[in-house]
Amino acid sequence: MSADVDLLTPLEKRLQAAEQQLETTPDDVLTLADYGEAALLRGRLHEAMKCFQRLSALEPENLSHCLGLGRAYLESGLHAEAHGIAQRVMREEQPPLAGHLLLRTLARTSHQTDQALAAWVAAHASWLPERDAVEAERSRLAEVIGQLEREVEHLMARSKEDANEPVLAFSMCLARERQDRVRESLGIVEAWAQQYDALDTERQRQEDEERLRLEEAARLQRAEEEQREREEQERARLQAEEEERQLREEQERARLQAEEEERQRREAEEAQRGTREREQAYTALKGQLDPLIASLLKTKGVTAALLVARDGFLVHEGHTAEVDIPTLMNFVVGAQAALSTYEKASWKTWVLELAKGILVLHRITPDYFLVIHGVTGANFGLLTLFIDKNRGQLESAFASAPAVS
Amino acid sequence: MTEVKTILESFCKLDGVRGALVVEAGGQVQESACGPDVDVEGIARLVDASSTLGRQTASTLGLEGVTQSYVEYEAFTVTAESFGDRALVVVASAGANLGRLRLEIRKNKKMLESLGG
Repeated sequence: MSADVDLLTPLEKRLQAAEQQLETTPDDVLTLADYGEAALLRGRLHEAMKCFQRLSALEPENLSHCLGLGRAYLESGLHAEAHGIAQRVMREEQPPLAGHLLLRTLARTSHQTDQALAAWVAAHASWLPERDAVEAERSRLAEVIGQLEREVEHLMARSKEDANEPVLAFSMCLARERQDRVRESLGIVEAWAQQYDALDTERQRQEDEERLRLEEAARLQRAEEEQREREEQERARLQAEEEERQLREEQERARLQAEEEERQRREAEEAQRGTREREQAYTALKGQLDPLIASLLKTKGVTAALLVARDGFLVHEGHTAEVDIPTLMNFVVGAQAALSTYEKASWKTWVLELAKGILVLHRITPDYFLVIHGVTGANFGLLTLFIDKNRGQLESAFASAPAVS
Repeated sequence: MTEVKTILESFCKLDGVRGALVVEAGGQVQESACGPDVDVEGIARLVDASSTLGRQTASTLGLEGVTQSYVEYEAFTVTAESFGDRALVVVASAGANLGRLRLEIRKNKKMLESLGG
């Protein structure tokens, strides 16, 4: 035996340490549990069973001791005893992960038909342990596989040193078988872990979808807000333009009104000034006109005699009865328009014989007219005779009269 | 030849008369008998416009309807006698006998009235 290779494997050293500890504290639960696990892995199944039985006696309610005993039975091929353990696990309301592994392994490896166990395993096929438990068990099983690997390597090294020792090769085979069984359990645990990974992936996918949906909703909301803002700005711009247009129109109306008022004021001033000037000029004519009017008013039927400018301005008048003088002044303006429909000659006198009177209109000059108003009895011939007789005097009187614009 | 035309032509036989015509309301010429120097349409428009103003003014002044309108120009006169909604119009030279003319107009007016439309 070479000094380079220890006689004891790592598990044997662990067992040896635990045995020494138990010599002083034979009922120490933690040391007993460590011893039981190490014995189970090392293949010292009888010692493992005794250890877990002792633990179960010390702590009957602790299911992990019971499960350890169940694994020891399974490793030993004591399926009937293992089923007894299984009955207890199945009665648990919420068996731990290790309980599920034991029951699944037992259901798969048992040569006995146990319908209750098969039904239980089928009913819990979709059971998923807590994630922390899965991760812890995965780490533990990986560590166990590593321990068994180191055990195998150690036994292999020893078998090379001592080729005549067949127990070493046998122990190595058993270690490899145990390693395979642990890997099967690890496969179950990995499947649970993959479910969590799938759930993670699905949750991540849902979160991504939700994030994208929220981002899209936010984008749409921003777009709507931007659109509303643009519309609001456009409305404000149009309103401002409309107000500006109305203001300009109002200013233009005010300007035009001011211009119109100024024009009317100037016209009124000019008219007033013109009226005063014309009244002064016509006053000077009255001395010449009074005898003519007086003579006319003495004529039979004559009730009024007027001298009117062509724009309707009254120069002088006399009347013997109530007569509508403004109508006669307007008559002068209207007559010029009516008689101008015949454009080939210029009229001199217009006599209207009426049912109850007479109207005579005589053009003295292009700007001035004589109007005679008579009632029934006024004589057409006498009036035309009067005009013929006094035509020269009338024209003379108005020779110096101001021209009418 | 119509009787109206005959009456109008009878006016043309009087000294100084250049033509005679009958004007309807609105200035339309119903019949005329005028020399070539008479602007029949122009005279008709003149009679219509002056009659319209005369009626309006007479009404305002309370002197009621127009019976005769006489317009004197430098070279001629236009005398219009209303009957119904029409007027008998005589165009005469400046020197024509106005008294005779007015008399003939009044006489023939009754004949025209008896002839109707």
